[in-house]
Amino acid sequence: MHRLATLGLAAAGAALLLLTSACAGGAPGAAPDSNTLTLQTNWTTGGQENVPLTAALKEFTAQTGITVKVLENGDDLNDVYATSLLAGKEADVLLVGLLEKQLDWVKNGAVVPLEGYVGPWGLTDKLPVEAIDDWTDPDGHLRGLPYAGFTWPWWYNTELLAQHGATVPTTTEELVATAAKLRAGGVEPVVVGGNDWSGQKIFLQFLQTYLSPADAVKVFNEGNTCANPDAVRGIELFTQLRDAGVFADGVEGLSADQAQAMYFSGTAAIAPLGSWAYLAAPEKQAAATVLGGLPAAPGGTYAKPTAFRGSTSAGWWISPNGQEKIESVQKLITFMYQPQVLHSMLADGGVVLSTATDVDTTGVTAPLLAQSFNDLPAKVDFAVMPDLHVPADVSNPMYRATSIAYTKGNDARKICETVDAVYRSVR
Amino acid sequence: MKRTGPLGYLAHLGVWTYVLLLLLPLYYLLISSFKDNTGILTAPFSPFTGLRPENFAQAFHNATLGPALLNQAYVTVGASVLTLVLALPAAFALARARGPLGVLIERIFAMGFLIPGFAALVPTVLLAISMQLFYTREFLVLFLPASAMPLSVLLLTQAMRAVPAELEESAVIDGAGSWRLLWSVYLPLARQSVTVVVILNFLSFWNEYFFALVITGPDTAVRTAQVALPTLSQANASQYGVLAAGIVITLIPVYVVYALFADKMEGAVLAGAVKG
Repeated sequence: MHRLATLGLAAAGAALLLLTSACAGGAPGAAPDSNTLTLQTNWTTGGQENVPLTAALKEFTAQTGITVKVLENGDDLNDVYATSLLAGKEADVLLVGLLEKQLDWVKNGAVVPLEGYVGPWGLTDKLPVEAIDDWTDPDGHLRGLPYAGFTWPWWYNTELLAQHGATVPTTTEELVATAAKLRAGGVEPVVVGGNDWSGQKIFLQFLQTYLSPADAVKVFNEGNTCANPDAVRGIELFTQLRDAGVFADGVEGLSADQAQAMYFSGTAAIAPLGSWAYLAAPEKQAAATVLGGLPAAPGGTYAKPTAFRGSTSAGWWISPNGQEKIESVQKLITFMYQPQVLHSMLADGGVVLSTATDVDTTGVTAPLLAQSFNDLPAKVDFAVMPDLHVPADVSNPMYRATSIAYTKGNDARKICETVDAVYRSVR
Repeated sequence: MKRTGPLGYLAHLGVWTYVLLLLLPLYYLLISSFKDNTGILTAPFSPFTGLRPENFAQAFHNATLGPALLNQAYVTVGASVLTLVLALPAAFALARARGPLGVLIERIFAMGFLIPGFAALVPTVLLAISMQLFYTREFLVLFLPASAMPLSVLLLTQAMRAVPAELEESAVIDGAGSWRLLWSVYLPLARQSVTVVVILNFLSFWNEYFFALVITGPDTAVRTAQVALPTLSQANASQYGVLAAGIVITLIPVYVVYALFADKMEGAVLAGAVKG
């Protein structure tokens, strides 16, 4: 009796498992359901930009009857999407940035090229030429539709600067003098994540000081830094300022988050921070902060201080599955470019848009976000943003290489050789 | 016997240092779960940088931890039960086997330790796809026991070998068959080792991340808590306090299970220690 009961229990368990498995499996070969779209994004629920996104999707469903199921991922989105593609279960649409592995998505067939949709969908006048260029791959294919961008200025805590008898520096000489005054008062000068992606970008901002934009693109693309005297000159400027104490102590070991925390806590007075931090800044620091750029160097390419900006923070990508529901996808994407949605992204989500539409900036209450629209463009020149030009497989190894640049004792020659070695290793 | 003198104090000092080293990460995690980014990054070990109990509510809401914990429990319990269902009869058979076939099979199980988990990733994904079980929790329930079988079978086999042959002979004389022997003789005597296996498998299955991420995917209806947690952290918008709170929430079931079974596990370890 007990034996029968045991066997019966095991059989029931196996049957239940198979039944639930069968229910969970999809129906292969079934026609795509155009009334449901799947959107995969890294604009996760905890982020400010998710607020207007969720509201917009709700409104879209109310207007069209098309349900949008949202799949959220953090930094693991690439891996998850690649595997889902293998299974033919990838999301229809993605809202994610253009960097690293995504640079090759069209080339690898992970998404469909979109150049043929821009005109027919009436998006031509909503997408600036520069943004389209950024999102177009070397084969001329439009990888995604630009949506969110960023600005990446240098933040100056004017309250701390004033306390130590300094003002916002506009030249590298003034920056050295400012750093000395801050250090004398026990305040760290420039803080940056010298051990990660943020430090890499700032290092490359210095590197291009004496390069024309075209040459900067070439160096970022190909390496051969040591062979370019102007690039080496930029690195020499970097080491000169580093050795003069411009950067915070231990900068080579800091992450972007630590650098941001040091600026927000008032431990450091200057930090290059991107627009993603505008809404996160504590009220006191936001009020005291003036946005500017990396001070100009004598004889440099740019007359004004430089900052970065880009159109690659997020864009709309369409997968092979999405192409099979292209009419529904068109409805979703064109809805997302409507003026009221764009305004909501800006005002409610703090999203710096990369669209050409004249977005109504009324209702933008965050002071730093407002500064980035109203004041920053006149104060700085925008340098070449490296992300689109540094090859995808070079980016990550270069973080390690550039942390060497932030370490005192390493001269320009050693730094450029280390960077060039990264390029050679992936060829 | 009471140990006194400098050696005794030194031993106490060593033990307490070790305990503190074990507690330090827990302390850091706990206080971080009540802080914001600035507090965590500028004064990592100070508990006095502001109290943010709302981190827990945010973590629970932002990562939809409610369904995620249920999914995690479903996968963990399902895989644990399936592992026992498979490992107990296997261990029973191997413990009683006398011939070279039994030795060979036991060695094959032992060789399972040599296969690194990541090496099985690609074939596992392809298997899930071909079985139409991709993006389902059920595939994890079926797959995870495969990774746990070597340890489970070997531990249980050793425990069952310690069962006196006389007991088995008496039961057989009384008419017990193989299933009755396993259920009524071997299982009760191997109870402590079974507990150890249950706890080890529970911890392993509960903390499984990579296969769960790749196979169950990001859909909140099926994703596990370990897959949900990283959505609380991003490259340039990390909220470490909320993430720490999320980790604390997912640790609670682990501590509950350990608290329930700790005495049995310690008993099993001690029983093994005094044998011989």
